[in-house]
Amino acid sequence: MLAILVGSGGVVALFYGANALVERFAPGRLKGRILPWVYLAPALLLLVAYLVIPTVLTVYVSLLDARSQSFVGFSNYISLFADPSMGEAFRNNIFWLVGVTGVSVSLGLLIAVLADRVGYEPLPKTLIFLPMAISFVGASVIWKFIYAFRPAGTAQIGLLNGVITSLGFEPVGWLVERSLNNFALIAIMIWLQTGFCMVLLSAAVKGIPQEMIEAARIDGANEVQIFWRIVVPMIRSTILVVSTTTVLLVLKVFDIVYVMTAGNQGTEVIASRMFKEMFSFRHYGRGSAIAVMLLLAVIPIMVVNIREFRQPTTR
Amino acid sequence: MPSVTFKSVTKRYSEFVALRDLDIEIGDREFLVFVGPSGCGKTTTLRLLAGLDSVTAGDIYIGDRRVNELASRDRDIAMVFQSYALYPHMTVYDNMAFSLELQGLGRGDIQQRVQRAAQQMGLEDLLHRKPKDLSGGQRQRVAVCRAIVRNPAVFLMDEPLSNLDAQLRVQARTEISRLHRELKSTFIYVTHDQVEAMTMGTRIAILNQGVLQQIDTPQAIYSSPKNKFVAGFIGSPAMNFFDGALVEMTDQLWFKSDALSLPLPPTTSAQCQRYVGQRVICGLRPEDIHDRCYLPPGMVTAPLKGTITHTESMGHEVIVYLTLGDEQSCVARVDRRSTLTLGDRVELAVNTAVLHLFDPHTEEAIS
Amino acid sequence: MPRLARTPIHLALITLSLLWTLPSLGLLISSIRPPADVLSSGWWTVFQHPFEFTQYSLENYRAVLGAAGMGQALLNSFTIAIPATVMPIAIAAFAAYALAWMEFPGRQWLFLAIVTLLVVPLQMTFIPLLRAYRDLGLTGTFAGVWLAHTGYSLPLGIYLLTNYIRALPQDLIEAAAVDGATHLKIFTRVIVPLSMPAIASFAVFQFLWVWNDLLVALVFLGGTPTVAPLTITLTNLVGSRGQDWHLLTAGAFVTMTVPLLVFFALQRYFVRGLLAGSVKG
Repeated sequence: MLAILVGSGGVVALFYGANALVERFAPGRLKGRILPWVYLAPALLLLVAYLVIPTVLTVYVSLLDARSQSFVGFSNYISLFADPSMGEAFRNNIFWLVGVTGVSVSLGLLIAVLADRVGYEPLPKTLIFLPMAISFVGASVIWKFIYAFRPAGTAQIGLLNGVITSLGFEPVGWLVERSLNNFALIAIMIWLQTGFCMVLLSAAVKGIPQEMIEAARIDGANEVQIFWRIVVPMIRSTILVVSTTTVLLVLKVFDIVYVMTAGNQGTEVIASRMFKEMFSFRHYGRGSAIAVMLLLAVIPIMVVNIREFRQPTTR
Repeated sequence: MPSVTFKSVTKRYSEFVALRDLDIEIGDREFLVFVGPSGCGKTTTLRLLAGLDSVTAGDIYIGDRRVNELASRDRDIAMVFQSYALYPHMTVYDNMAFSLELQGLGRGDIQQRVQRAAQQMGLEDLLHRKPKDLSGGQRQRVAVCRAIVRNPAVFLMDEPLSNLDAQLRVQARTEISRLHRELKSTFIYVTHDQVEAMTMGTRIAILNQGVLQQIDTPQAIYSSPKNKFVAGFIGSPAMNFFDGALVEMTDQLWFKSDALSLPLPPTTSAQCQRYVGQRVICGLRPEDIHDRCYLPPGMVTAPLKGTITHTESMGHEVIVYLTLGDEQSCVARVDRRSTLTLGDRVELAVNTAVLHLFDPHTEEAIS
Repeated sequence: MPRLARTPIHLALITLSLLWTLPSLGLLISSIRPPADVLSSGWWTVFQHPFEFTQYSLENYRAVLGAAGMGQALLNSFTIAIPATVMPIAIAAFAAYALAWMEFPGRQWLFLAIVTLLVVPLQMTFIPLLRAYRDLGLTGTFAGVWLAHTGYSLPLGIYLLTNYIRALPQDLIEAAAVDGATHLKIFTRVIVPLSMPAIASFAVFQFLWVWNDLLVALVFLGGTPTVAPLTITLTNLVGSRGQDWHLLTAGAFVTMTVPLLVFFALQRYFVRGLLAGSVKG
């Protein structure tokens, strides 16, 4: 309790104190010059300490060896590209990107359009959006339970195997089967992310003027044609924002893999790999190299996203 | 003691000169109206005085205190904004109390002053409403009230009536004039509306392109505009201008152009004599051109011939548009009983006692 | 559209809604079943006689909050999340005001530089920060996590709040200045109340982000159980008691309660916060 008060109140007190100091002691003209920097100082300090300097250092460390003792040039990067388990992480991440983005964006759009036509619209939207509030860790436990596996013959407590065995099939170890486990993990992310896509896309769909739809209908378009020829082109920029946002999220996915499989049985992704390099292998050079690659992958998507984000959907 | 003084004040925004070398002394308890077309520098002047922008050169005094470097809050001024700038999250009461609170006044004091100001503006019943629950006219009154509650040395008003509809505007105009009489403090008022300027100001300052054109009482500005810009800006419909020359015939000075010739009144000054034989511009106000049938008795007139191209009957008067000769056109305001009709070729009467002459190069008035 | 033609729409919506709800429903039901039942039969079997209340109990919650340490973790989560929400809001709001309404050289440039920092993934910063934390003794302390979360959230916070505050009418700020307000007064009495929608959205987003975060907590708090938030404790539970489904389901639901409450109570700000936060690095 005390900690909460100190942490929260301290910052506000800091600003009042600094402001009072400047108001009292700085002479008239100087006051106007100093005050902006007083307001900015804490922010700038933290930004520099937590983002700017570490980023620069990470780039530097990625050129050093495991213990950051000697300069090794690009050999961390080279060894990463040569490493089959890193290749696996890349491959999986691409799976994730395609799977999560494709499914949750199209499913989100589908739900947005369908829900727009029924009287009880808020209910399905709330239910589908709800998982957004749940942490990756919580969601992982939920789904671990769904994927729970018991040997054939015993009672299944996982929903999925329950369904399968009742249909007469053998139970499946969803998280260990190498052909299935990645899809099992990707499904979790889809479950979490579809609601987000739906909410944004729904707002965009509602933003299309009704007259335009009616005009198309009078021009003789059927519902499917209206969807592909009017709705989709008109919400293109929202689709782009939603997709890039999902891509960014997926690129950095860590929690789900860490909790569900810890990256074993061929489910490694870039971020979990980096965590391993840092904490399990203590190879700071390679850990940093992965981080740098992540940054390089994120930059172009982020640029697109910020540029698009500035115009629509905000308020 | 003048309450506000501008001493060769200039304001420059990078290349653009918003205000050039302004020199004005505004007296205590005066109601000065700055008027001019948009972009003329009138709002800039007000913002410089309010301390919302800083001067590029020159000095501004309030009382005998130089305020160039003083923050707005230390200038003892209040301002009414065009948008009213009411704080949307505060009630009417809190809007008015805000500045008093910042001055460190006690609760009782604040309440008393807010009540008194609210009474003055008839806002007692609205004190607990938020701005969004008020009508446009009420908001405007709150904005004015927020200024008077502070009892400042100088009131600044930036087009405070431009967001009201026509009827409310007339009402608000008299309201503000009444306040000025009651409060006995200095008002500085910016508008682009010449009616507001003429009806409210004790003096009017006309600005154009950042330069002060004339500052004088409304009557003086109407009857003796200092230059062609002022002459054309004040008055509606605007003054007619004719290019011509000054000639002397039979001991009398005449203004002659292709379309008309007007004898000048015998009292013309020596300055006019210097323009004999030269080109001049003659200005004629529409209200000085009359229908011959309804001439006021005893008026000395000269004829003006033209063809009527359009008439507008306003009820209390008729506005007549004519062409004289080839290119020249002209507007007249004539008596409401007038029966002049479209297409008529007519002869109207010009009151020759009120001709305005201007130098064609400097556009300054020839008095 | 004719009534009948809409049947597929209803069907599709109902199916999807069910699909999306089942996982959480299973978790909730399992968390209130006795341990033996959870492990011997599927949760859906309760629907054979749903009103037989003897088959439900809150025993799992007692176990998970007490012995399994989730009670302490719940407290820790609050201790981490509340200051880690208040601090960035205060710091970002002051900075945003300066960037939006105060005159100083290089203002635009600085804003652009801060927005650029949005692209930096958290992972970029871990290794150098960890070393610094070790040297400063910040590892495993609440202050260390607060500062980290604050630092990471500032680019987004400043970006959002500056855009919002900049769009407030200039007249209002000038009116306050003429009314006698100092910068601090303008900020506290005019800017903050008027920016409440933006601040609330950012607050909801940041609170949930911190509450649900595993990575930052894992990196900067390490394994110390006395300071571990719910996410870490639950993750450890998965590792150590992976087959004790009665504990896991109850534990997972404990971690979800606060976000769900926020979700239902502040849905409007929640959605806006998510939309706004969608660009977070």
